[in-house]
Amino acid sequence: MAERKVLVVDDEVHIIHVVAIKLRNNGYEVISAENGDEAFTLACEEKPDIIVSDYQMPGMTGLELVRKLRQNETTKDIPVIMLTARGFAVEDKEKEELDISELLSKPFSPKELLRSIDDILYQRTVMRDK
Amino acid sequence: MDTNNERRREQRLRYHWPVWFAEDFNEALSQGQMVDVSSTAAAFTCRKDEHYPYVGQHLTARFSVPRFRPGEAFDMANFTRSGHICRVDDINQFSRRVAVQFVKPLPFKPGEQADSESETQERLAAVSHELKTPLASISAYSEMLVDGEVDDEQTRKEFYSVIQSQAKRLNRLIEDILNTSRIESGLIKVEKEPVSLTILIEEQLQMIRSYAKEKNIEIIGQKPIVFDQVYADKDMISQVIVNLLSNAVKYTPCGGSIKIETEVDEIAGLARVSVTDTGVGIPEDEIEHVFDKFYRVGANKKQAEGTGLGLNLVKQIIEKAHDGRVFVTSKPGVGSTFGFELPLATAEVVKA
Repeated sequence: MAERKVLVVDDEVHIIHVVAIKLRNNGYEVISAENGDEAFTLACEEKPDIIVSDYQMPGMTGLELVRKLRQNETTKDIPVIMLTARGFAVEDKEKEELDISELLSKPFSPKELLRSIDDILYQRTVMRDK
Repeated sequence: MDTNNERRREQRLRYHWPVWFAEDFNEALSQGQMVDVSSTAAAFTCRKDEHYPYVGQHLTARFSVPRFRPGEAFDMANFTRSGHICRVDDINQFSRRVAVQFVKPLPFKPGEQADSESETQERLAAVSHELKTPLASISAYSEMLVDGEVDDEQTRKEFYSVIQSQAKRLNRLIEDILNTSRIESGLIKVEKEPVSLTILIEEQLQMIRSYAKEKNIEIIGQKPIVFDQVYADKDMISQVIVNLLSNAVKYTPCGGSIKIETEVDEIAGLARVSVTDTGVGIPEDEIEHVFDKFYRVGANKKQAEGTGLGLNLVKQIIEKAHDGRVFVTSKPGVGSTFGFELPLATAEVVKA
């Protein structure tokens, strides 16, 4: 089976770096972007299996990125996990509307992130097979 | 008698005055003591047939002491918050007649609104985000090390180094945030006196020259000019100069140059300091934000580390604590000029 691809989006390079190491150590392919525009372009080109994005970024916020992804045919079904350092920045309503699979607050645990990614992708596979 | 007055003249009224009633005021005055009064309270009493309105939180701290012929007020001695206590001969006479008006000296000027609840929330969220960002790195990198996710020694060393640098960053942030908050809330006592800008600049230039030398950046000072005295807090203005100079060095590539100059505009009653660099510059759509809290120019983030609070602090000090003005012009790829204006220390300004 081909390696599953994760797109990591964060303006903090250190965060991208540590997440990439964790995910690659556990069998994932990782691509990354430091802002929403880059991320959207990359998502359309590479069609990742899942996207992990920060909420607070200069330019396009994480929410705006997801909104854009959901409006685009190629990317509308890609599951998204959002990392946020701002506590209640994303309301439940928004989470549902934009179909964000999970909200993780910073500081986050790479272990938990891995588990979330594994779970979400597993569920997707199960759903697809049904 | 004269030395008493001298002594009291030296006891300047400070910024912070706790709330208290007129009777206590007598007590302190009669003992020639300096009084501490809260800057956020407003208190008033009536004169014989006059009201001093409750002024809430928007005026400048000032108090008036009526001097009486028995039974009537015939004179008012006015003191601003930077004035000094004068001896009053018959304390009892005015015990219920002192009108004291308070304000929050910083950050409000008459007419300015206090932060709304959502603005405060917004600010807190911004601070929280800034603090959690380096913390997130420290936490994630530590977890990876503990979990044995890092096999080779080289990567392990990198991880240790990231943890250390992010911890330092967090520390710097906390310091800067506290500093800015203290100034904003008026907790730091602004001690103004006539100071020469060129002397302050020269002092800071000494310190920054070695940093600039490391990057082979030329610093062009200027000949000292006379009559450049402003009425200001020496330490605060030094901080402003340091911030501007160190930003200039930070964002100027090796081999560049920085020029600092002072001019005096006697007609406008201002002294103006500008720091011009041949640095990376700031894009037009970002320039209006550079003095905002935590703002860092996107393209320049990689160039140097920063908390995004240095310029905000400059703005707070110059505009809120000193009634001055900050300014900036820039061209990406060419350089930037940052500067400030302060009122000259003329006789009127010092007396006020």
